[in-house]
Amino acid sequence: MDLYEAFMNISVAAVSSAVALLLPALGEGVSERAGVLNIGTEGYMIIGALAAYYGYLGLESIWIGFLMAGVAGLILSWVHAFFTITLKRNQIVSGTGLWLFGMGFTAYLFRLVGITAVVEKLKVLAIPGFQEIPYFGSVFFRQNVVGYASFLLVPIFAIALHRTPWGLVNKAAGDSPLAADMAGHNVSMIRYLSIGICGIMAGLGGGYLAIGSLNRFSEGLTAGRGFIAIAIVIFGGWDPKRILGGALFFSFIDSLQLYLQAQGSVIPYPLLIIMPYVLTLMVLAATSKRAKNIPHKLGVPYIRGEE
Amino acid sequence: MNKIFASALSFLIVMGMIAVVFSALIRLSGFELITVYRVLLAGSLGSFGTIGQTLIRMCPLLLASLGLIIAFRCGLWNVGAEGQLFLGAFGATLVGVYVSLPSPWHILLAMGLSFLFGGLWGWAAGFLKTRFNANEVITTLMSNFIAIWITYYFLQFHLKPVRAFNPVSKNILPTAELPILIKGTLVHAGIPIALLLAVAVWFLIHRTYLGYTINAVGANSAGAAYGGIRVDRTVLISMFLSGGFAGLAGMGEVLGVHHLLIRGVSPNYGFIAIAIVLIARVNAFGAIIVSFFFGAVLAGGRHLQAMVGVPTPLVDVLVGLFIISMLLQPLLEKRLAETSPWGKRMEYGSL
Amino acid sequence: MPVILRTEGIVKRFEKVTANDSIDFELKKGQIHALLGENGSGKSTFLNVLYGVWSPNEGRIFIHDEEAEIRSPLDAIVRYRIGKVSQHSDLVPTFSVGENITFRKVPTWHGFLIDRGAIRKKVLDLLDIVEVKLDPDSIVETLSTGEQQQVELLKVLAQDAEIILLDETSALLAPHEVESLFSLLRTLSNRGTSIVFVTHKLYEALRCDRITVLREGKVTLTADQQEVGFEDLLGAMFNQRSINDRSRSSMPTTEQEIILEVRGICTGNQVNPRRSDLKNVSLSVHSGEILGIAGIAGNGQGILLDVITGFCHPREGQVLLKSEDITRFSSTHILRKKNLIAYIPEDRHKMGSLCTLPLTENAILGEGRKGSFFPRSIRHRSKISEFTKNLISEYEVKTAGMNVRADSLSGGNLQKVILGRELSMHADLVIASQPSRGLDFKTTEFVHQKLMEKRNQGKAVLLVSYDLDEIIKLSDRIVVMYEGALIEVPYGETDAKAIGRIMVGFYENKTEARIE
Repeated sequence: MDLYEAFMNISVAAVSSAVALLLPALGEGVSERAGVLNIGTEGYMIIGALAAYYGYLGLESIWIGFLMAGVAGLILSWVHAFFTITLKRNQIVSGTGLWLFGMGFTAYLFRLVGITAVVEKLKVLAIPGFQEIPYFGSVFFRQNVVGYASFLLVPIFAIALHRTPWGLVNKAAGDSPLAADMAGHNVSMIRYLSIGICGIMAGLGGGYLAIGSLNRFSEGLTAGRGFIAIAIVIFGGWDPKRILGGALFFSFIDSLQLYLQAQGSVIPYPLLIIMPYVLTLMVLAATSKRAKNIPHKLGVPYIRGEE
Repeated sequence: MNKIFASALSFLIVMGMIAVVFSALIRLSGFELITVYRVLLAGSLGSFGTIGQTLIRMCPLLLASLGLIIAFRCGLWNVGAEGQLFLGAFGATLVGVYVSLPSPWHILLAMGLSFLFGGLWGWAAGFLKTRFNANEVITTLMSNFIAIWITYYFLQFHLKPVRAFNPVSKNILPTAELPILIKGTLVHAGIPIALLLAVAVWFLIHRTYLGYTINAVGANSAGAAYGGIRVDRTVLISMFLSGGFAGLAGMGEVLGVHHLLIRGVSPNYGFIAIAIVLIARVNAFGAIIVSFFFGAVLAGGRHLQAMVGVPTPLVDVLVGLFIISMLLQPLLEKRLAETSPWGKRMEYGSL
Repeated sequence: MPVILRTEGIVKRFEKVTANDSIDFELKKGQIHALLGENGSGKSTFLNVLYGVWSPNEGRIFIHDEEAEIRSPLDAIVRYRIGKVSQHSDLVPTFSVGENITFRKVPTWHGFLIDRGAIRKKVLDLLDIVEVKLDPDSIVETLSTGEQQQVELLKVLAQDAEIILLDETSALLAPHEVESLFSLLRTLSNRGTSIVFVTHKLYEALRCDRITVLREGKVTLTADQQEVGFEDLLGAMFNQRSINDRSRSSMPTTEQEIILEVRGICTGNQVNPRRSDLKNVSLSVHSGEILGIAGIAGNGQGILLDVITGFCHPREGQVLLKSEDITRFSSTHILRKKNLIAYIPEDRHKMGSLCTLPLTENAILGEGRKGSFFPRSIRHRSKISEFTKNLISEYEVKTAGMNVRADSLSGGNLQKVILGRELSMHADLVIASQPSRGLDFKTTEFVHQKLMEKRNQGKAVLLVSYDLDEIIKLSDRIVVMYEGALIEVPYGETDAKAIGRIMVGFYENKTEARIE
């Protein structure tokens, strides 16, 4: 297999697996922009994955499966919202608790129910004409429906965040909730909404893993993608376009690493696996503009009158 | 209602809530409550042997918790105990396999290196915070994965005997093994060491000047600075110690339980420790009791699947529930403290 | 011109303090009305009543001759078109000027996209009206304080305010920025906006159309600008009072050893000059004396203390503690010397104590005491509890016990703990900033007594207070801080009005009509 072919194969794998990173990262980006950190994103993803699997199996519709994925993620994320916004408790503790609960609960339920039937995953839809473009054609234009939808979500999120009043208020909630409050906006509602978006997106990401790109649920399916999503958000400066870039980049590294492993290569693959995390640390260590993009009040509960 | 009563009552209510949810989950899954509780009890406390199983799980939990106690008291949210544990295990393996010394020096050196590895890792997050103002939650979270994969890397590419298939290191030399204290069980010397260290940490926090500065920085870093305390230095020391103890947790697993390094050296001990520390009110003696409890849960739970068919991940669910309930307990305590024993809300100034 | 806002007998009480005592106030349309008074006179409270933050205990408010009930700030702006600009910023730092101004109701295109064109237009229209130059797209956190304040004003205007309340907004501005502010206000008033301008600076008040003076919650004077002069205003702000019940040090203290010496301190930079930047400040405190720094908040006192205690380093000048140059020392280094400097800070909670910890931990705070309470780094429990017990009894701290959390104590009792802690160190220099703020009469007396005891023991005391009576009562020598400069008060002067005139900017070596 020559180098180009290898590169192609890796790229194809990278782009399709980027979807499972892109979806939760977009959601987490919105939530963090409004000031809320979701350590539990991994939990939202896995519960979405299981819900998608069962939904598909039970009701024999892949779209019901995805719907259930979104709903499951939403519910769990709103538990987090309840703890952190309504009760104003610590976001880290809540996120960690929900993550462990999610992991445990899905594994528990899965083993209990015991069904491991394989489902028919989404078919790849090649776009005629585009798919002939060298390299980019086969890499980008041979995805399944959800894959295309996810990529389309990037400009939608970008427009929503940068060009709509909602985006503005969402940003204010993360940078200066006091100002937003004084201007008559409901900070709690904004944050609930943003967390909900995170939950839905992460849930859909998990669903994509289970029934979109693979063909069944398995324990540990998410493999830390929820945390990589957090890294991508930081790496991407809380901006949808850069988050897409980050998702593609990290996914490429992951696919590369898998390829090397499969080839029995001597290049140590774990060193590639840690790259996303190392890069994120470097971003945080920089005193440059990107780090300054951090929402001013990330992680801080808003209590009126406490300024 | 006075504070102590409110505190105890709120704890009881919270425990009760967890028990209710837990039991409901079991019942809804179609299992017999009594059976499950019996298996849990038998597996953890039923016999000498099983108490041993509890104790060997308590050991890493306690050690990791001690580290978190130091960090949390300094106001630092160290969620990287898991990664620090792995690096500690790695350090202990290096000494255990490749260095030749008579025991107990062999063990002591291994302990030292594992403390150092874990400690440096924790210190690094502290450095990023003091120098770059990087949020320690995110840095320790990310560094978890880095540490775990670095350990895997060494395991896979350097520590594994060349012909072996599984990523497992060579056995540590017998001189590095933590001796078994009670014949026929798995109870190793790491357990009393952990208990002694718990006393040491309690002493550190409550009886030394360093402990005072840690508490002060955690309570109000501006006030501490006003009092002449060097805040940055305290943060760095705390993170170093915190990582170090988590590293010792890894050491205990390598030298006391497995006698080699395997990938699965920790089933999320570093995260369970977070729950333990919160429940134990960031107190070392409380941590002893609570880590014993969680050790029992883990030990009792290992046979759940085999004997009753209850899937083992139920334990993770329980841990998650505990963490979540620790969010609610202080609120409940506050509410209770404001009521008279007969349940009426007291109006301030009415007395 | 018609009266647009009128109040009758506004009374506002907080616990035991009457902040506003029967205030009658009248604002005409298009008028710039100054509200003048020193700290604690009730100006801010009155504004908050007008803005709906507080509802008055007694009295009525009339807007356009109709009785008004202003229930909240939202009410104020939406129903009554009253807007307020305060010292802390309500702006979103990462937003642009335009985004901040239109934030309450963002103009949209087809209902769901932001209409940036409309934002620009609105901002440019407003900028035209007020004749101010600002780039609508510039990000607020990059602007200077003066420019940010302009944005706040524009924001209030954008919400169609008829009445604008300005709460000591000029305090943070550089001299040329004050000019711009006044010019903007004048443009607005010419267009029919009515303005209430709170200040403590006489010359600023004299630039307004009408002046109302508040003293201790009451209106002492209200007149048009051309009807009054400095003396009238001074007399209204500070009654002629001498405080005679003081025990003065018998020794001519200037012959004693100089404990603290400050020479030629200058702070601030050319890029962003502030009026509170220190300008060549020099002072010295001798052992056995209390040096009182009088002045209204915001004139640089905080900065001076920060320089002395090492929290900030001056551009020029020196700080000498018992002849040792400590100018470049960090605060940690200086405050470790607990046996040299005792510091009772202005902010009890954020700085002076560790609120969530027990009293014992608070009582021993101070790295310089490590040796006595933690011999060989081990806690000496009996010594600590004995010390705390003694402190509690000697300073009459009302507490349930020495192991209760510090934040369960009342403000006064917490201050006593801090006082006891700091004064127990036998430090040669005691710095006390606002030591009796918020305390009741008895506790205040207690605090004063303790400070005088220290003085009598031969220690040096540097007292900073916004309460002129406290300064006069306790100080052996008095200096006034005004806009970053230190002005000496003639020795033996105890007349509040005489000192007050310096505090508001009217003193020798300055021209009568004081315009920056």
